[in-house]
Amino acid sequence: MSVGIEKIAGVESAKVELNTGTAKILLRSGNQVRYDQILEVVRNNAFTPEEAKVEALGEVVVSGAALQLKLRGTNQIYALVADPHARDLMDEIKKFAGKVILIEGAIPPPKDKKVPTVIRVKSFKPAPQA
Amino acid sequence: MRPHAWTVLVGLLLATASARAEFRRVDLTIFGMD
Repeated sequence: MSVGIEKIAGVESAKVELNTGTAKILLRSGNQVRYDQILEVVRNNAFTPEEAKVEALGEVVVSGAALQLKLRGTNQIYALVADPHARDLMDEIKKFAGKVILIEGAIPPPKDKKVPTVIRVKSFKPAPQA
Repeated sequence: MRPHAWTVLVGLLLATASARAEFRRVDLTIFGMD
């Protein structure tokens, strides 16, 4: 399966650890990989994707009371929700509206084979300068 | 007409900046078989 994931343009490396049941994927800077591409390869190899821990660079978009992360390269938009242990994060993230931040969080397991569009945020920091 | 070098440079920088919104790392749990 790691070979299949590494064939996705923009994937730097993929390491599948069957004993821990994880696929660890590193992506190149400037990649345009969509999350659903990864899910597709996993399913094509007869595995069921569950939760994913992710690091993502994206632009903070404020939509009413909701916060979103926009990955401009691929036009993916994820709703941001606070991790139960980090509820104050949302107010902090809102201050970065229109700016790019690096988020560490989790994408919940897909339901009914739909691609999840939520990231549960554990921490974030302003995007490192290029 | 050939573009000036700085025009090309600014274009490249803008393209790089707009692309800097992406997944960096995905650790996906794959327990369970279909």
